[in-house]
Amino acid sequence: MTVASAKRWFTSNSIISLISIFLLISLLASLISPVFFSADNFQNIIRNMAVVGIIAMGMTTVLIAGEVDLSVGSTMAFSAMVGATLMGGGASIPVIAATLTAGMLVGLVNGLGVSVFRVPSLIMTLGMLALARSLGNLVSGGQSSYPSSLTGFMFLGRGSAMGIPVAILVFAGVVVFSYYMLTLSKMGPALYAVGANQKAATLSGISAIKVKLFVFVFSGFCAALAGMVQSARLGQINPSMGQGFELTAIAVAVLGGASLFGGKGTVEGTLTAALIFGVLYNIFNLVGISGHIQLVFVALIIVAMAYLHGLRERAV
Amino acid sequence: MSTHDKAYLHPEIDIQTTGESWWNLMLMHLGRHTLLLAFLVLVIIGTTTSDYFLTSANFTNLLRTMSVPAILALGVSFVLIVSRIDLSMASQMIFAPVVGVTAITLFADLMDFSVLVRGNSFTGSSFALVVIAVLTGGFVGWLNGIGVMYGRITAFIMTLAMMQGLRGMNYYLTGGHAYYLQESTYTWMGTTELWGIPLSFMVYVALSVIAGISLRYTLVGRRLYSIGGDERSAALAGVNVRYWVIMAFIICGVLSAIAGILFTSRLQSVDAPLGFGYELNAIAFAVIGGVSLAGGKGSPYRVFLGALVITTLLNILTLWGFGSWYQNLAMGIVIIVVIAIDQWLHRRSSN
Repeated sequence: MTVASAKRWFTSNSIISLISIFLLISLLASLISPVFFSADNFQNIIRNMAVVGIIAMGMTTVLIAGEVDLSVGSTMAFSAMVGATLMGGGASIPVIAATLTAGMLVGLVNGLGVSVFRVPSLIMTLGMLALARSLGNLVSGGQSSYPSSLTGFMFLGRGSAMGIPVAILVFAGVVVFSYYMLTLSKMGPALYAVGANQKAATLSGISAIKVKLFVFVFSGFCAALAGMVQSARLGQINPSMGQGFELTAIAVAVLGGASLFGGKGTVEGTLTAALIFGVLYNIFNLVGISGHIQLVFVALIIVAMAYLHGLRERAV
Repeated sequence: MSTHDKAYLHPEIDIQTTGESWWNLMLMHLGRHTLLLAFLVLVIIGTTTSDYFLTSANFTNLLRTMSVPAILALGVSFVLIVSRIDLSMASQMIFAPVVGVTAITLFADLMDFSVLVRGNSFTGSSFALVVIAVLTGGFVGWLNGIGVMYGRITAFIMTLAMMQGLRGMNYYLTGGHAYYLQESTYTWMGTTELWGIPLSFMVYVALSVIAGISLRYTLVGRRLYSIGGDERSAALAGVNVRYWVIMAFIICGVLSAIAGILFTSRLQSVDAPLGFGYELNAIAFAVIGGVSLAGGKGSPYRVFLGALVITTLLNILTLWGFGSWYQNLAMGIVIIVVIAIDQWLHRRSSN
């Protein structure tokens, strides 16, 4: 294999180049820290990425359909606070059901605004970012709730089944569902079609309204789910949680190959990008780089990866 | 000037007023003056429901609250006009004065004197601080522009990374502590007012007038609007797209730094966590003022109206005793509803 054909192979396969980056970073990490290659540490990495990863999966579907959802961080907090109002009953099921319903309702409103009222999604979800956050504060009076008595709820963040943390299983469930939806179900092609060219998709009989409602509801659902995993892990349902998560989730999805202009993005790409982020943060912590400098490094890496991504796009 | 240019500068000429029903005409005029009408309605509501609304103290307060986010909105308008976006404004707003303080402190250390006394009180030159801050703003804007135009990184991602990176730098440079900026010239900037009009608002108006004139009557406006309208055609027509887009980012950076100076001079301190979320407010102000995210549209006058309406609304809510939660709630609803109505009117008039 010549250098040129290797380069072509590398640049034509976005997922392969992502996985290569992932392996390269992991290799570096294992050279830097001897504890990197251990089952415990890998579990740790995935568990840390579960919350952002779940949100990024929802975000990926939204981006594929040509929209963006800036409200996910606020939706997390709002739906969790709605769920927390039912905590007095002492049962987990109503809390979980209420949280997921609230998240999907926020998504439904976003979807209606974007598809029926034609508000650009950046504006619609920017408005929702402010709106859902303040509703969450109003519902809870700005007070955190402590769900430690709800065993079922706590299981989401702290439990483990067959030796695997439930948070990872939840994340895996979302990944599998997203993968099924995008590649095997009828919805997948419709999503890509609407995102690539809405007019053409509508003319060929795809309901853009249905697609947009679906992606926003799914994004709201993912946000609510991520909010529960996070709350259960921390043992606290906090109305100010998730601030800035929307931007991290977008960064993960975009580095995974999704485009802000729609029609592009894959589950495996987003998953690999989430793992890359997870490994990076893990290295920083193992080496002992403080949180503030981590932000600077991550920013530099995002820019570098976006630049390389652009090179690859142009090479194809 | 070609008719093409005229259509950008005078959006009203593209309206066909012949053969329209009175109802459609009324809707069109409403569409043109919604913000002014909304402002008048708010003033009437404010005057009738609160004794304090029409006092000079409240007036001063309103202008003061408005100017910092409005300057950010003015800055982001330039970037939005060329159909890019800047999410790093709020971080830049804090980064610029932080770099100013850090640079002067380092210089003073080299010269063997100290400008940080009693813990973290900054006593160095305010003039130098302002100059360094503005240069820093321009530099960061230039970096954003370089990343977008030469690195071909989507503006959303480039400025998102800049936002996070600068936030990290802010924490790193300040060491997580606040700097107290109580040098007399600096506090003068934050507190001085003339006939009840705070300095920050005068600065904002001056910047808006300059921006308005240069966008409407000079080459700057023609180039920026043409890039936002159709970048490819502009490039084919010989416009140096890279130069003008980078220029738009630099203008946005400089205005963010100026907003940061006014913001910190009012607080008399600068601290890394300040200004969180201001970028989204600024974009909301601009968009409510009619700046299109798709580019090619927007004027400083309408950004001013957008900022005025939202700030007045929030002011009335404060006077009624509603806290920041209700204010954010109202802000979210207003953004969505205004744009939904705008889209509806637009579809009607284009049908």
